[in-house]
Amino acid sequence: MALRKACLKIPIVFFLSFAILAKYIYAEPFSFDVVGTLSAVQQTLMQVGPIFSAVLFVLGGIFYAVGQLFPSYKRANLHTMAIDIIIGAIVVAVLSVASTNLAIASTHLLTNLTSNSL
Amino acid sequence: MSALPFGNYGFTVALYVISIMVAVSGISLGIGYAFNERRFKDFGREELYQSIINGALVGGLIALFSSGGMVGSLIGSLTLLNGTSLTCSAYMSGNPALCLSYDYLAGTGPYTFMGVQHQSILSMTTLTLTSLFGLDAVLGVIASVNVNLVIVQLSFNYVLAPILSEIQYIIKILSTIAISALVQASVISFIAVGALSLILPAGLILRSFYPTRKLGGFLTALSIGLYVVLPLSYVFNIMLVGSFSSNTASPNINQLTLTASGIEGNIFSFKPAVNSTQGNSIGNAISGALASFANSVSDVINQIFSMISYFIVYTFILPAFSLIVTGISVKELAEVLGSEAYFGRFSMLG
Repeated sequence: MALRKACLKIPIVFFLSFAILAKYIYAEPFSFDVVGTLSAVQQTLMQVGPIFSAVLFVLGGIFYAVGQLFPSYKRANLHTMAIDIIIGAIVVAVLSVASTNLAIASTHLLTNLTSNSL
Repeated sequence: MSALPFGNYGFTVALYVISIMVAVSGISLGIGYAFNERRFKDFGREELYQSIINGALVGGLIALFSSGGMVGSLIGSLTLLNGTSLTCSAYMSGNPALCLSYDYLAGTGPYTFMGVQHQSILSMTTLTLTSLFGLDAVLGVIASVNVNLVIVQLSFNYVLAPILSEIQYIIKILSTIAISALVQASVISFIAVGALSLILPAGLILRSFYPTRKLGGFLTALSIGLYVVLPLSYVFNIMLVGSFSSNTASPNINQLTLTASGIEGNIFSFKPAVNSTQGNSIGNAISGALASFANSVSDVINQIFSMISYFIVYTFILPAFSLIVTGISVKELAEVLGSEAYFGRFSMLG
């Protein structure tokens, strides 16, 4: 059972990640400017995060819906998986969108000398 | 925002790297929760903690090392005591301890520390070397002279050989001392130029990534140790030197050189001896001159040995202690900065 779950999860995760990253990274030319490159990567991650989160929400919904078709013991498993996926989607969305603000806020933990924007 | 030690560029790069790692940790943490993968959860949680710590480090280090920051004030208060005046290059003006260390080792002019004027080690060594070169040249000329005393032939080479070999040995030691002082001054210059503008930002950025975290922590600790601990240890050495030593005045080699030049002139003024009586009187005159010269040499050699012994302490032994103290500080700081953060029972949540 664990092996089947792993065989299902890992390809999905990698395929989704690669597909989304490839669309954005290979569509834009890389710059040799360090700040420019880092800014492009950061913008990409801030876009990938919500998209990935939306995919996970849909996946969670699919699992929840599929769970309705099974007997109670299998339904409980699928509903638990759906809840876990939705929690993961929320975490991904929050942290990827708020990454810049979190980074700036962390520089203000000890002092308030640094700027408030990137 | 006060002037940054590594400029706006370094701060911007560090901030981008931290925000990227927060996003990556968020995605990893979300995948871990979504698919109940413990490794993703642990990795995501750990990277999130480390990213926040890195951000706090960036902000804290900027506050500490910016112009007018805490570290600058501390170093200034320990270095620029009453009666201290230094001549600093522009790239060293931000850290008076670095500037004082450089002036102490290889400064071109005198510096004043706690009201007492000092010459740099390099200046005193090269002055003594120059004087010794002059003495060596004069004695070398005398050593090449053979005087015919009718009965015997007097060769000054045999008489002066021990003194000449001693002078050459002293010249080698003084050259080594001068080179050591110059090497240390070069290290001080490199630290002034590169510690805060190259090594510290590189360390902060490398610390943000999981594979290079330990290297980044080490580089950050190294930059702090080199910029703060090493120069302050040199300031401590300078305080020791000022308190305990006064025998670093230049020995009176020039007077000895004048004496040797006088003997050389007398030797060249002798007319060749034609009988044993003349030979005897020339021999006696030369013996008397050499005897008084030998007494003067012994005094000067004692002064030179005393000076060399102090210089060996200043340029080899005290800097070795400084390096040991700096190494220990870097090691302790690196353990704090490069080790995994430990949050006790909070690490077991989730």
